Amino acid sequence: MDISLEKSLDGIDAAKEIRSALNIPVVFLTGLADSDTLEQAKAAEPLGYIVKPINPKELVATIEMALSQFAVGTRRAERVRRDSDAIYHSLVENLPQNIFRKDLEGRFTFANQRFCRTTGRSLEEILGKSDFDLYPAGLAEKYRADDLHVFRTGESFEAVEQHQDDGSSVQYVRVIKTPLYDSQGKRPGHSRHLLGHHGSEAARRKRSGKVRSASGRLQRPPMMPSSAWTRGA
Amino acid sequence: MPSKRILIVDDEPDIAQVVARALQAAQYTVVAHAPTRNAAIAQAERERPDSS
Repeated sequence: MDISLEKSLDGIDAAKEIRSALNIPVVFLTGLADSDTLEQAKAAEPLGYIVKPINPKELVATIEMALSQFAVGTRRAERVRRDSDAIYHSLVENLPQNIFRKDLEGRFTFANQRFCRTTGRSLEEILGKSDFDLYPAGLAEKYRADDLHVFRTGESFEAVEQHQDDGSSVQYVRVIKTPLYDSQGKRPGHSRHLLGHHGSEAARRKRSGKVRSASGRLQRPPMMPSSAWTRGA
Repeated sequence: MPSKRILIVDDEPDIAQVVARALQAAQYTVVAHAPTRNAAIAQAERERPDSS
């Protein structure tokens, strides 16, 4: 890649684009070697920089090293990604929490195995579904309202909610919902996903007659009894 | 192993030709020659020169 094309330093611009958007390695081949050009060329992250006049052996050697460096970098990035996936997976599947991720429209995009067990559905049955497919309408509406609040404000939602199963047992469950951002950074109201988890707050057994309302920042009405996901818990 | 694919970007045809000859002598495949910024990006998208 030459650096000065039609306009000065156009090559650096092209290289940046090709490198970042297409992930194709670039070697510069240019008559320019002043410190200013070198400084600007760094931004394109070239894997080699050859100053004209062209020496064919140097050209080939530089390209060989560039391709090999690129392959090393790709393998390393792949390994880091696999390691990070493994850590993520072990955390998500071993914490005593029901963990899920939902998109802006409220569709489940992830659920851990514990969540699948408590809802009594397989992951395939959960993905793409919304709360309205999994829970009674009143409960689903509350969950959706909480989700929208998280998306709108960018603030986490945390509440201890009361769930009652079919018997006389009442469970207190701490629910936390957090907006998820990509690596581009945090901007409230711009998250596309939400991460939620809930786990047992304290295993207290109460008579079904003494039911207190769910407490939460949103102060919603009490949860409907017999929520689907406490069924198998 | 297939030969490595290289895209040459240079606005001087003479230089591009010298580079192409040197690369071909070393068993590389020159997929295209682009003289401008836009041609370079377009050819890179189309030809997908070596990224492995």
